[in-house]
Amino acid sequence: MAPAKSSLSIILTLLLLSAGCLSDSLDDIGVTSTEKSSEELVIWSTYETDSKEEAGFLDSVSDWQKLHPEVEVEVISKPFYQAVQAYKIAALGGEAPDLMRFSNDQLGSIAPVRDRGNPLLEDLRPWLTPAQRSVWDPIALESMRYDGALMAIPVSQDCVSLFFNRALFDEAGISYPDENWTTADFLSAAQEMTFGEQVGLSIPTKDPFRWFSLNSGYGGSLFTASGEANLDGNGSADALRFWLDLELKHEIVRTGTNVETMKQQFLSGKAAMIIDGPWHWPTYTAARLDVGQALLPIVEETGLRMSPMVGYKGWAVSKQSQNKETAISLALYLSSSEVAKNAALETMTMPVLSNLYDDQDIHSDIALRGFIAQARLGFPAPTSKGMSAIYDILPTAIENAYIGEMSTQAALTAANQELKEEMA
Amino acid sequence: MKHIFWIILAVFLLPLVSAQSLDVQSDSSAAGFKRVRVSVEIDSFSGNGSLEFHVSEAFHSSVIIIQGQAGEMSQPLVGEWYDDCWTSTDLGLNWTEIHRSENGQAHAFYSTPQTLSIRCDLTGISQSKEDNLSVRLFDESRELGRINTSIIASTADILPPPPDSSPVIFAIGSIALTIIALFGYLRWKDRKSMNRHGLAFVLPAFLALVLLSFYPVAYGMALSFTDAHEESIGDEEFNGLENYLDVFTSGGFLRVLFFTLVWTFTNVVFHVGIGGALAMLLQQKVRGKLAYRTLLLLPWAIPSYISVLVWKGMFHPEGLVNVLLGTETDFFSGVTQAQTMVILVNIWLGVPFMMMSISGALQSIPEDLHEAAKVEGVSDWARLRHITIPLLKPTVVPLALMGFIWTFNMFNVIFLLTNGGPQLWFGEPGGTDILITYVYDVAFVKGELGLAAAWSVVIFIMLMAFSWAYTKGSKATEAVV
Repeated sequence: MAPAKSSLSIILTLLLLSAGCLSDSLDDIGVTSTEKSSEELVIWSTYETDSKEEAGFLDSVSDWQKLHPEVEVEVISKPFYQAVQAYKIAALGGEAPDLMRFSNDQLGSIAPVRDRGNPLLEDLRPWLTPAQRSVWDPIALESMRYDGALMAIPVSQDCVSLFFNRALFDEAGISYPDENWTTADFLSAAQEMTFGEQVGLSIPTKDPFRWFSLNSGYGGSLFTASGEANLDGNGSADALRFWLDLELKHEIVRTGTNVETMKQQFLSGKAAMIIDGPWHWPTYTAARLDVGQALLPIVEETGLRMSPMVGYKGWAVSKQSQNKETAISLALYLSSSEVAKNAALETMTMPVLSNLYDDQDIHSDIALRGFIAQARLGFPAPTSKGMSAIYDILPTAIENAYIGEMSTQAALTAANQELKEEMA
Repeated sequence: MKHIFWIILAVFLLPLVSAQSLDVQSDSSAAGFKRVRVSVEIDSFSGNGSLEFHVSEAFHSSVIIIQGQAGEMSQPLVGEWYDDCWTSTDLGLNWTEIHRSENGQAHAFYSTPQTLSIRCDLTGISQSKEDNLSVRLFDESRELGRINTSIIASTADILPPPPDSSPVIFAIGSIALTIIALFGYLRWKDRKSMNRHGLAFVLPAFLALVLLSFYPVAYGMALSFTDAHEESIGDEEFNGLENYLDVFTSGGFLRVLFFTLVWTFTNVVFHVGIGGALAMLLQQKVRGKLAYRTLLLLPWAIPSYISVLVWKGMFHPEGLVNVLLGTETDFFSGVTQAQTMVILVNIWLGVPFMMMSISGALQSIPEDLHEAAKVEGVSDWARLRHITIPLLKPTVVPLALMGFIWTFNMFNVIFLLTNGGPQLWFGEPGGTDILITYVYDVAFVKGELGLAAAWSVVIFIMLMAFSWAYTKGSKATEAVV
C-alpha cells in the first residue's frame, strides 16, 4: 500500500510540475502567440499621470480604436525618467510593449542596445513613404534618427522658456519681461521681488537641462559641430558660474530647489519667475494663476539670447512587436495633423508637423505662439550616446562647483574628459 | 457638337496613346523588406517633367526630370532612407545614383532627348495585400502617360528570436534531477533507518534553495568572467579575471567599501542597542505598554519606501525639520551630512524589528531566575550582565548576523533618499553609495553586466567571509542549538 501511495504522490507531483510546460506546447500545435495577439497593442505612454496631456492622449487612442474596433489597445503608464530602463529590461525578457513614447535625448541610451545582435527598436525607414515623411519638420525627423536608422515617428517638441506671475510683477510695479530683456533686467527684477517667503526666481539649480539654455547664451555648446564633447568650451564656465550664483551669491533662488519645489513655489504664488516648459502650463493655468510666458532673456555679456535645448518626442515601435503594421498605423494617427493640432490647443503640446507651424488657430493662442517662437530660437537635442551620458556626468560637475570643491572651469573640464571617455 | 465630341474623346484617349512611351517593371524581391523596386523606361523624352508614383491612390513619391546639368545637387548614399533611385541613359546598362535637392526631392538629369530609365525602390509597401501602383509621367503642363500595375513586398519581417530559455531550463532540470537522484540514493542507502522519510521532507526545500538561490549565484559568477554588456547581450565572451581587476583597481573602490562597512556596523550596533534597550524598557511594568509597543512598531509597519520618502521630504530645505529649526539647510548636500542622514533614517527603520525580536527573547527568560537573584541580593546591573545578556545571546547573535547581511545589502533607503549622491567623483561611486547601490549603477545605468556581476561576486564573498568568521567567533550556531 505504501509503495502505491508513494508512486501516486510522484505521479501527481510530476503532473503538477509539467502543467507549467503545457502552455508553451500550445504554440507548437498551432495556437501561436502571433495568432492570439494579432490585434492587440500594448503601449507605454510616459505622460505625467493624470495630466491633461495624458487625458488628451487617451482620448486620441480611444478615437483611433473607434476606427479600428478589431484592435485591442492596452495603455500602461510609465514614469518618464524610468521608462527607458524599464523598456530595456522588458525587451530583454521578450516583453517589450508594441509602442512607446521616447524623447530623442533618450534614444542614445536605448538604440545601441543589442539582444543577440538585434536592436530593441524597429528601424522605421522602410515602413514610411517619402510622402509620409515629408509632413514633419525635417529637424524633428532627423532628431529621431540614431546611426541613420529612424527610431521613432516624431510627435511633439518642447523646450523651456520664461514663465512669470503677472500679479507679482504688478505688485512690484515692474514691467513684464519682453523679447528685449537681458540677464541684467532679469536679475534686477528677480532681486526686487525676493523678500520674505517670496522668491524672484525659482529654478532647479543643479538640473543641467535648464542650464543648457544659459550655456548657449554664453556661446557654449555641448558638442562641437563634428560631434565631439565640448562641455568646457566657450563661455560654459561663465554660464555655470552665473547660474549657480543666482542661488549662492544673489540668493534669488531658494536652497535645494528641485523641479517639484519650483512647481509648488510657482503654484502657490511664491515665485515670480521660473524657467519651465509647456508641459506644466496647463497645471499653472488650471490653478488660476495669471501666468505669462516670455522668451528667455539675452545674456548681457555676450549679446546672445539664451537658447533652450529643444527635445523631440516620438513613438517607437518594438523590434519584437508582432503587430508592427497596426502599431505604426496608430503612431501615424497620433502624429497626424488633426490629433497634433488638438493636442497643441488643449495641452500646449508643440507640434512637429510643418503645416501646423503657420496654422491660424495655433497662432491665435498667445502662449502657444510664444512657445513655438522660443523653440525656433532653440537648438535641437542631439540624438547620440554622448547626449544620454551628459545627464549622468554634468550633475557631478555642477555639484563640485556648487559646493566650491572645484572652479566651474575645472569642473566642466573634468566633465568633458569623462564624457570623451564615455563616447570613446 | 461634333467638335466637342472629338475634343472630349481626345482628352480621354491621350493618356492611353501617350502611355505607349512608358514601360514599367516591378521586382518585389530586389529591394528588401517593405520595398518594391520599380523600373520605368521613358521613350524619347525631351524637356522637363516629372514622374510620379501613386500607391493605392495615395501620392507616394516623385522624380523631377530635368534636361540639363545637376549643378550642386548631391547624390546621397544609397540606403540613407531606403527609397533609393537611379537613372540610366543607356537602357539600364549603367545606373547612376539620383540627385536630390536639400529637401530630399529626387531629380533625374539628362542632356539630349533619348530613352531615359529611372529605377526606384518604393518604401512602405504592404506585404500582406497587393497594392495598386500608378506610375504617371508629366511634362511641364500635362500628363503624358500612366501605367497601372499591382505590387506587393515579398521580403518578410525578421523578428528577433524569443528569449532563449532552453539552456536555463536544461540547467535547472539537470540540477533538479541530480538532486532527486542523490536524495533517492541516500534514501535507498538509509532504507533500514527509521528516519529514511526525513529526506523526502527536506527535498522540496532543498530543491527550492538550490534553484532559487544557488543557481542564480552560480550564473552570476559565470557572467562575471565575461565581457557581457547591454550592447552585446548574447554575444558575451570569456575575459578571464579582467572584471575583477577592474573592480579592485576602480577609483572609489576602497572609499565605497569603507562607507559600506561604516554604514553596516553603525546601523547594526544602533539597531541592536536601541532595539534591545527599548525591549528591556518595555519589559518593565509600565503603564500603556501596549500603546508604546504599537507606536514603536509603526516604522516597521509602514512600507519602507513610504517612510523613506517622508523623511526625504522632512529633511528638504523647505521641509518640516527646517521649518521647526527656522533654517534652510540642505541636509543632503555635503558628503558627511548626507551619509549621516541616510544612516539615521535606516536606524529609525531598523529598530522596531530588533526591538520585537529581542522582546520575544526577553519574555522567554524564566522570571524565577531574576527572582532568585533578587533574593540573593544581586544588583540590577549584575543581573543584566550575568542573566539577561547571556540568555539573550542565542537570539541576538544570529539576529545581528542577519541584520548585518540585510544592512550590507540595503538598497532602497539610499536609492530613494540620495540615489547615491552627492556625486562628486566622475565615473565613480557617489558620496552615499554603498556596494549594492553602486552595482545597480554599473549594471543598469552603465550597462556593464559582466563587471556588475564581478562586483556582486565580491560582495558575496565578503558576506560569506564575514558570516563564517562571525559564526565561528561567536559560536552562534552552537548557541542556538
